[in-house]
Amino acid sequence: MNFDPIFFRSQFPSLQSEGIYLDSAATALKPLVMIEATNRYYLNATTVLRSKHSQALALDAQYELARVLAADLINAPFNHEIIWTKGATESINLVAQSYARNRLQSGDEIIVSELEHHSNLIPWLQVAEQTGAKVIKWEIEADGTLSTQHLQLLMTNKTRIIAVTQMSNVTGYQPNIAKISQLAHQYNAIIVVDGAQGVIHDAMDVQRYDIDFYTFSAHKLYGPTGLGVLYGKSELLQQMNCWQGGGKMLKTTSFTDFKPANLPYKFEAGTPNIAAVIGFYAVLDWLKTLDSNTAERYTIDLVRYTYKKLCALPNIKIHSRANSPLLSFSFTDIHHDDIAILLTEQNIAIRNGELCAQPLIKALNCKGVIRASFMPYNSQTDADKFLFAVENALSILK
Amino acid sequence: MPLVTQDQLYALFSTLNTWQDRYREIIKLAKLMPILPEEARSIENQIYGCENHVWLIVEKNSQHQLNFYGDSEGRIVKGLMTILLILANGKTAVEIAEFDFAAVLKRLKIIDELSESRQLGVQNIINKIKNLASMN
Ligand SMILES: Cc1ncc(COP(=O)(O)O)c(C=O)c1O
Repeated sequence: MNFDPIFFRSQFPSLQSEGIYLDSAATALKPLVMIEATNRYYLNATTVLRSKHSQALALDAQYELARVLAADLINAPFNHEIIWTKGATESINLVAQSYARNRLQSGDEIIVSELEHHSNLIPWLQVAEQTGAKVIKWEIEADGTLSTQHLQLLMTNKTRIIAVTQMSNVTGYQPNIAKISQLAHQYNAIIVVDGAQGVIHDAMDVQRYDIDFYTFSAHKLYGPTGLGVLYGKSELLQQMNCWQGGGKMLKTTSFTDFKPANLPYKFEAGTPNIAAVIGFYAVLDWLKTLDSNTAERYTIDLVRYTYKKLCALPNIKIHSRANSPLLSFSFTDIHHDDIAILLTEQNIAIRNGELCAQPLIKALNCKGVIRASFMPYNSQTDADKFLFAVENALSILK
Repeated sequence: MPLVTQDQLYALFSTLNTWQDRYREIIKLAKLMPILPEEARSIENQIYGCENHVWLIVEKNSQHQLNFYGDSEGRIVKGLMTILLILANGKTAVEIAEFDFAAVLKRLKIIDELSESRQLGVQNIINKIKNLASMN
């Protein structure tokens, strides 16, 4: 396998327009295979409804095969440990409500890192309020990292859950998941890993790191919106209450009670997002042909190049790691919104503000950041046009 | 706020040929608006739906004319707000309700240049001006 940046880029129809897309950490662009698969599904949907003929069966098979490919991606031991959700956000809410809510008692502790996206903080605050448990902040160090020694000081016999990201959506920092997982289990707590950013760059091996719950969203991994994965260890999923009630999540019911379906269906009430699953199947299948290591190295090199050039600008503060796919920065004398408006003006898609991580932005001591995020479909030209646009913005704001 | 009129705005912007120059002018205009004191930068006076903090307050004189004061952390948004307040200040609530702010921005060639989400941000400020006017 090899990685050819030009060929890779050519598979993304939206890159044919003239804009520069550096907002992949918000959502990735979609490859043609995904668009075509979804399209095909909708075009053929009526035939499928009418008959049980081979096309319908093929679709059914693809639907379940998507689960297998998702399990393979993160090395989950069993396919039934993969639950389709709406996205990372819903997955974490599911764990908070179906796992934590019944187990947590007043005074129990949930450790949440300061790096977290709101979607890995608010669900814990909510379940803490419902149960009387406490959310404990695991602060970042002065250099923006998370220290496991520091974590050890926070762990008590009340610690039940550690919620941590695989990769910060602001700084690109990747905590030491192996060590955190080991500490969690040493204290009989569980570890919940938010893989929304991490999965794109380095899919988690949930067995190797002994992860209890892992989640990501399809749309950040070249896939369709409205679909996510929750991985959970079988023994935990089995004990958990159902998430939502409705069709297909039960075996039998009467007016007094119901018997939940087996895994994973007990967590998948209602008509699933079939089009998205079919589209994501195409993506996962296509990803197998990608040399992801080389592609990742290519991306990081592109960021490094941009990072170096940005460093030379006056009054700039770079908040992201040099070896990450993200580039977050701010200027001490210019508001991030002024830069962002002028970049948008020049057809550069970036993101600015608090990036759904208010506590982290506060800890970084700035009002907000400008984030340019890179993927293997970005090119050297993209980086150069971006740098030119930043300099242009600075000259207007001078 | 200094006495810049709508006609002066038209005259000013008609000489600007590039988007860069228009932005430079918007940023310059921001300097006309005084910084709001800390106590006015409150949550009640904040306009939501913007990427940076934006505040707006209003005063009415004995002739029922309204005078707005606004502030924003970002200079460009503050400049855009300055333009809107040049248009709004000295008008009565009824006049403001009827005034087509967007049309003026269009003629100044400002609105079409902004991205869709920024246009929404500007619309938020216009709505807030109209809203505050209707309550006073
Ligand atoms: C680190 C992180 N966690 C969670 C999420 C939430 O993902 P979604 O909105 O797809 O549920 C995001 C998306 O921005 C993210 O970057």
